[in-house]
Amino acid sequence: MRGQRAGPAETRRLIELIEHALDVAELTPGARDDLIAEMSGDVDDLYLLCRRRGDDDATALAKIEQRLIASPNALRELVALHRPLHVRLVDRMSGRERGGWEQWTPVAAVVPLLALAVRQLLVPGSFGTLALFGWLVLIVGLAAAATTLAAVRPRAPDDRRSPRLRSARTLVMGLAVAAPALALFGSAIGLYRAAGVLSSGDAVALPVLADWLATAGLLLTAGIACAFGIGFCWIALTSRMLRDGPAD
Amino acid sequence: MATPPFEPQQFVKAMNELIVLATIGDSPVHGYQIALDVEERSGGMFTLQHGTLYPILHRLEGEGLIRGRWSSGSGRRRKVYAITAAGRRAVAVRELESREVFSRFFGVVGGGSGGAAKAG
Repeated sequence: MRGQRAGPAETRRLIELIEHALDVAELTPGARDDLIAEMSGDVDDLYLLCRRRGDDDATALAKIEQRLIASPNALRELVALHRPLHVRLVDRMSGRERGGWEQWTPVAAVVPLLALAVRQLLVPGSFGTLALFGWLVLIVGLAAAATTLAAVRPRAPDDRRSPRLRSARTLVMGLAVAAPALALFGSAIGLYRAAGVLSSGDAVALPVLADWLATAGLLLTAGIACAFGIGFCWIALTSRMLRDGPAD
Repeated sequence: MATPPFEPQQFVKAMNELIVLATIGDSPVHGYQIALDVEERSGGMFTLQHGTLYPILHRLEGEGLIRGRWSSGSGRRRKVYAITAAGRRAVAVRELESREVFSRFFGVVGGGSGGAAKAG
């Protein structure tokens, strides 16, 4: 592990170079640790071998740097081989590995659902007593879209967007969870109210249940469609992050 | 069947993979040792510089042509590689493919120099 190296002190600078290069790469912690362990082990062993063969310190380090310290191209290739699952997914969804109708099919599936949910929300009474939750779900979706647009748009010609994209991605991920959670919470409240009415014995059971089923179904559809839509925002942000390269 | 067009970048990549694959034997060997072996066996002509060794090793490992495993000695993890049966077959196939490319290359170059000699 880092900070507990048993290798020679002379190679510390080179190993820090490797660690820094891999720290900013889009890798899972396990893959990063394995790559660092493999490369730093080779650096240490080659250093000891060079010294045994009679090279002085500077020559040994120069030989190692020339052979084992990865150039940006080699590093990019190595990182691409160890892309985490979500990055592979983004690559496929963002069209870097496929294009045309395949790329747009998921969007085409979600957009009509969202449009239907918004349309129903605008019809008075369609969400019944759960209209508040319907609006909240819509606001969450709009907030995610606004966050994505604000983060993706460059503010200056040399703007480094990576930190902004990273924090926007975290926020968007939270919003993607919030949308269906709000819909579920609203549906639960609707069920609780319906149960209250039924237990009072004042109303006929069937219309109350039917009303709850209709509004809860609509609300849940809106929440799930919104989560999918926000998922595309997340993919767009991750795709931009990968295109921009690692943050400094 | 028509021969696919020659792509120099792909050929260089395939040659680098073949060199590494042919250098790794049955007994496990460290990455840096592979780089040194390539240099020594080629009399210094072929060198794997700037960390180009690692993407090659990991690609070959992903394709199942070599097998990487971790060994721990003196409290440190080290990765070693050995060739697999699929890797040995790949060496044979890729060697034949390379010979074919070079054969065609010298077919062209040899004919050219002959023509130049006649012209001179």
